[in-house]
Amino acid sequence: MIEEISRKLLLDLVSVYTPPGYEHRLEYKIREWSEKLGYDKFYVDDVGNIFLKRGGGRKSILLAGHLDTVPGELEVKIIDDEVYGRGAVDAKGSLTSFILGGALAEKLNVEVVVGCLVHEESDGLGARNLLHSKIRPDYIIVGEPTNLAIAVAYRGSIYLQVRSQAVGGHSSTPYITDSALRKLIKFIELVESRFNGSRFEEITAVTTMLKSGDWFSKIPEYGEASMNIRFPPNINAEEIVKTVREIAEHVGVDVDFESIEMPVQISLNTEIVHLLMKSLIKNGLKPRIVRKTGTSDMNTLISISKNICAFGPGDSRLAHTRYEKIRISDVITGAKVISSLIELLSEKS
Amino acid sequence: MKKLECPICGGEVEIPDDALPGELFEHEECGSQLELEVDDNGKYRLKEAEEISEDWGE
Repeated sequence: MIEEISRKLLLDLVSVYTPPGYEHRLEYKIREWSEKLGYDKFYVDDVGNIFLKRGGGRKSILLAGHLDTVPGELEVKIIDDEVYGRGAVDAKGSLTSFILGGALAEKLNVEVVVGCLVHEESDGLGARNLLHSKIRPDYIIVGEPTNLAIAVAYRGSIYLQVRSQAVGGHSSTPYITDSALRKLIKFIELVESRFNGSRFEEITAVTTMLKSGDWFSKIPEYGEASMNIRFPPNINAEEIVKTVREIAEHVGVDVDFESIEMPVQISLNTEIVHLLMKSLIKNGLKPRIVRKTGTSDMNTLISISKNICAFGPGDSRLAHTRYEKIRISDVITGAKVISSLIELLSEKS
Repeated sequence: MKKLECPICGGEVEIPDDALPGELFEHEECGSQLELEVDDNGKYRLKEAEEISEDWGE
């Protein structure tokens, strides 16, 4: 029974292509599932976040998944125990576990809210909108592919845009003029070598876009690049910004900091982490803890509750790739763990 | 609360009574990560936990 329901729900979510801005395509399907699974309430907020609620009591938990995927539609198929398609891993598998797990829980003595958030893969609009809402859960679990481990940390992220201008000239005489592209490359090399970390605890920098030049024999007069810097907890973002500005001034390029997202890290002793560990053990799994090199809605939602972590089925190495696939059995295990957690919370409340 | 010895620094670690073998704890005094286990005599004790791993993704 649960196998059939989870397979259908997961396929329904993955079959509808929902890059950021198109999440509303799933509204009707999720409303249907909300009624079918016995949720008490279904509603959509002003930015398109969808919420399913059931239960009630002194305590509340928000299971915050996301509806959107990175762009790039993939063929949806099911082979044996695996569902293939865009978002199967990141993060419709987790969302399926949350919707199903929320519905499976019996002995309900807490309010369970499943949040299907928008724009996680772009500007985080869905999570940011919660900061201004009345939703103030005691506990939050963010739905991300952690391979059923508990994620207790995400790094911070800085996106910057670099613009370079120069006199340019004929490509036969580069020694009498300057080049916008040359300045841009110098800046990139300095920033990337300054922040050349290779693990979670270190700062990393990478160039994601580079544009310059409009003719094969012209030395470029203009160039621009996009860069992304990631940094761990306990590193001051202002220090990074200061360093980048100094390099820009030295090279002679202009820099705009488009967004700065702060890192997040919680203690292993946090109550929600222990509830999740107990639920994993009750379901025959050994608790594993991970720290994620990227960012997620957890970076934003920690402002609402410090009792927060991320969890979900799926191999994160497949996220954002054309090989996205997820085992239905893992999605079911995720749902059972969430259901156990809600029951544990109900016993405590 | 159970009071158990930290195998890293020898200090005292308070463990909730409902903790299960396999649960992980952070000893706030020394920062070590510990796993609750049961010894051959059925008594609870703490051992050093596996290192927290790094995972890609967002």
